[in-house]
Formats: sequence, structure tokens, C-alpha cells
Amino acid sequence: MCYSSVTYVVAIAFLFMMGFLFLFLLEEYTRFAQSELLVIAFFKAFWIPVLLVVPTITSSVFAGRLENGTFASLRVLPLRLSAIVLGNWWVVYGYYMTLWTMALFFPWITQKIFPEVAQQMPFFPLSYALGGWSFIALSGGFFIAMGLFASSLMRSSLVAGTLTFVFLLAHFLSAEGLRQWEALRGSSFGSHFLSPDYYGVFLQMEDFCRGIVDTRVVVFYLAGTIFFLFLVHLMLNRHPI
Amino acid sequence: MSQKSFSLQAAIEVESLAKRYGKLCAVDEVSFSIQPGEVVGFLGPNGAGKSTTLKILAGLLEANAGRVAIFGRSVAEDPRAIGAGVGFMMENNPLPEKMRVGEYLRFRAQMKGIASRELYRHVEKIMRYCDLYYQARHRLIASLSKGFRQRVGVAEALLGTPQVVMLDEPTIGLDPHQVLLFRQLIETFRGRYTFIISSHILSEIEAICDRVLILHQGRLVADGDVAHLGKEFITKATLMVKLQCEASQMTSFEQQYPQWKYRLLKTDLLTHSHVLAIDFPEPLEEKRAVWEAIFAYASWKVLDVEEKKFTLEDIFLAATRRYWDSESLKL
Repeated sequence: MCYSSVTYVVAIAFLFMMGFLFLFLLEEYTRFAQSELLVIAFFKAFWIPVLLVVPTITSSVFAGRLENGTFASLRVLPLRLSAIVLGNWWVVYGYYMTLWTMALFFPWITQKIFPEVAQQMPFFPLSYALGGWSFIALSGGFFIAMGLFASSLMRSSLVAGTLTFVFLLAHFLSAEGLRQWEALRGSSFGSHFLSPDYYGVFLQMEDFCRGIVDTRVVVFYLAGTIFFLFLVHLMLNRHPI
Repeated sequence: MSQKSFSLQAAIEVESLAKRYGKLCAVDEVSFSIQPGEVVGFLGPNGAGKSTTLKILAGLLEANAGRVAIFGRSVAEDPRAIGAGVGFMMENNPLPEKMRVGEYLRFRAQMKGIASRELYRHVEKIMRYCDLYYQARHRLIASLSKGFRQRVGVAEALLGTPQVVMLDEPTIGLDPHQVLLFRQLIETFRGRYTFIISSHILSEIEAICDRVLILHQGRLVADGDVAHLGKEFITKATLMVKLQCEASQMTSFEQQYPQWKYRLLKTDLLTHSHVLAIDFPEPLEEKRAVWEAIFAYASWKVLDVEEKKFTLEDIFLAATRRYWDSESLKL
């Protein structure tokens, strides 16, 4: 990954985006009183970078290699396929988390440069930041496994990236869609099996920031990550070399 | 697959190997054995099943039937363990474009289990063997010429301590100097590694290899050294005769000796000189009779006579033609 220029371009674009987002929120919060903390608002906007960054960093991991044949040359090495899958997931996940960790330096920098702003309000409490970061870490593994699955399906990085974008969008909107559907039907059919509260990502993020950790959410993301990695393994094993 | 059924001495044992892609039979009942240290050429027209066979040997593909073992260990049972002892340069030689040559080779060496303290020294040694060290070690793979890319592929296959090195079309795109370097490289490692070299360039295989395997339509149609295959497949000899005479006198030679077919290759009308190729069956008595007839024939003046040696190309053509003939007889 470190040999690809895309890695550095994405990192710079991500930090710019997060920087502007933080700046925009900070400006809003210094002008008007808000009902929720800045830190929660900052983390709740995580879907924007996720939708842009995850497809970009995962799309070519397997699709690109399948297209140019380097995946086959990787299979010649004395490595198990599971090691190849996990190794790639780990590298992309590490990169993704590095980006997010770097983005958390924005509040710290602001606090150092403008201490008076930080004194005006409960600025960026560490406990909330850790909670948000934990949710990013938990969901990130799942999103990246999802992206790698799309990448393992085909040889075109562009199509794989688009597919990942659709998967993520569907995941973000599905809880709200279900809620709307329930409101229209006036029944709670879905809630027995697929409670919007259970997998609605924005609510989950808010809970994590407040320090409420629902084990069902943890199990959902961990199981989802393992499931998608299993599918990646399955797909790569069946690809003709 | 029973490991006991294979000879421990053989570097590679292949028994009744078969691979199908749907209805297409890519490899059909192929059996051969290669001894340690042998340099074996793998020949065949496009689609003959060479690359498929090599991929099965490298553990990349699963065979539908048959047995493959490398130094007595079954490839099907433990392909990853076999991978450590096999260097394989694939057809088209796929390489990561964004890496530098040195970085790529160190990464591959690390993946092949070379210890960190040995890594730099080992990769440097291989780069020197492949003539990459001074000219290409810091260059991006994307910026390399075809020749250099091929050398990176060969270097990669030689990394580690492979017992068997399989090179699929290693000399394609190389200029004559690079081909010479490649030959020298094989000479350096001859006897230490077992080589299987697949190629379309028959002269290369003839110059480098101890033995040749010819595949045709998924079947092994010839197996042996060039001299042995020559005896098996070349049933006629050809004399190249340069002579001086009128064209009509050649016709009368043909009428006098109708048992020998001759072909007029070149005619110079100014000097009335001609070059003939006379084909005749291989036995020695026949050869002597042709020589005598050519010299005894009074109507022409013999300027030069040369016996054309058979080449691997002749063997290749004869072996594949014989396969065609046998198949058409079956139909």
C-alpha cells in the first residue's frame, strides 16, 4: 500500500476534509448554542469520509491484482490464502485507523492554538473522543471487510469501488428506511428481527460517544467482519488463475 | 495420493495428469519424470497445455486427475509446502508496477522465508546473477524494459533455495545479448537446481536443455534428449547440393532416380547454378547411394554438398505431425 500514490493522495484528501468539517462545526458551535456536544457532531459525520475513503482504499486490493495477474504470483508463495486475506485486511484497516487517529489531532491543535475557545464550552472531552474512536475502530473493520469482498468479486477496481459505495450507503440508510417503512405500515414487523435501533449506525455512534456499549452492536460488527472476510476467502479461492 | 509410489530420487514425478476446463481437455494423461539437476525444455504450440501443466506443478491449479509430486511430496496434498521449494516465473510475468526492483525482490524473498539478516545479501547476490544490481535495483518496475522485466521474473524465481525452478517463456522479448546472459545464468545454476523451461524459441531450448518434453493438444508427444528424439522422429535425411547444369538435365536426374524426391531451392540463371534439397530415407546405405549418384551423374558439375542436420524444429514438427496423423487415423 505504501508504494501506491493513491495512499498519500487519499490521506491528504481525508485530512483536508476532516479539517474543514471540524472547522465548520467549530464555527457553528462558537456562534450558537447547540443541543449536543461538538465531539458527538464531529463523529456523527463519520459517514462522509467513510463513503469516500473506504471504496477508494479497498477497491484495488484484490480487483487490481486479479486484473494484472499479481494475485496469481502471490499464490505461488508459500502462504495460505487466509494469511493473504487477513494480511491485506490488516494493512488497509491499519491505514484507515491511522487516518482517523490523525484526524483527532485537530481538536488538540485547536486547543493549543486557541485555548480561549476551548475554555468557553465542553470542547472535546477525552472520554467522548475515545468512545467515538472505538466505534470507528469497530465499524471500520466491518466496512473494510465489506470493501474487500466487493474487490474480490471482480477484476475491475472501478466497479468494485462503486459496489462498495452502494453497500455502505445501503448500510447507512437501511435503518432509517426501515423506520420509515414501519411508520408507513404502522406496524413493528421489522423490529422483531431487524430493530433500527440495533443497527442504525448514527444512533450507535452516539451511544458509543456517550460511553454506552451495546454488546449486540459489538457482536454485529465483529460477526459481520468475519463473515465478509470468509466470503473474500471463498471468492478468491474460486477465481480462475 | 500415495507418496510411496514415487521414486525419492526424482525431482518431479507426474503420472496420468489431466486437467479439463469444461469440455476442453487442456492436459490429457500426461506422465513424465524429471531427475534432480536436469534442465528440461517444455515445448508445444499455443494452447498445448504447457502453462496449465506448470501451474499444476506449482500448486496454483488443481488437476482433475493424476499425480504430481516434487521430491516425493504430493503437490495436491500440500501445495504451500511445495511452494517454498519451487521458483515459478509465470507466463506474461505479472509484476507490481509501483514497486522498485530491489524492494520487490526483498519482499518476495521475505515471503519465501529468507531470514531478515540474510535478506539484503541474498537479494543482492541474485540481482548480480541476473544483471540487475547496477542498472535496475532502484528503478520502478513500471519503467523497466521488457528485457529487464523478464530478468526480474527470473530473479524472483531464483530467490530462496528452490529445488525446482519453472520458467514460463523466460526469453520472450529478450535481445540476443540478454538471451546469452540468460544462457549463462542457467549454466551457473546447472546441476544445482532442476529447471523446467517452457518456450516457443526452439533454438534456445536446444542450446540450453538436457532434455525436451513436447506437448501437443494436451498430450505428451515426445520426451527425451534431442539426439534420441531425432532417431525417433526424423526418418529422412536431406542433402543440400549446389551444382551447375541446364535445367533440363535436372529433370532427367529425377527420371533416372525417381525414388529420391528433390526440391529446387535456388536458381541463378546467369551462372546456371542451382541449389537442390534431396530427401532420402535415413539408413546409411541409402545415404551412400545418393552421394554416389550425385557425383556419378555426368550431366552436372557438383560445386558443394552438405548434409542438413536435423534441428529441434524438425523434431517438433515431426512429433506434432505424427500426433495429427495418428488422431486422423482414429477418426
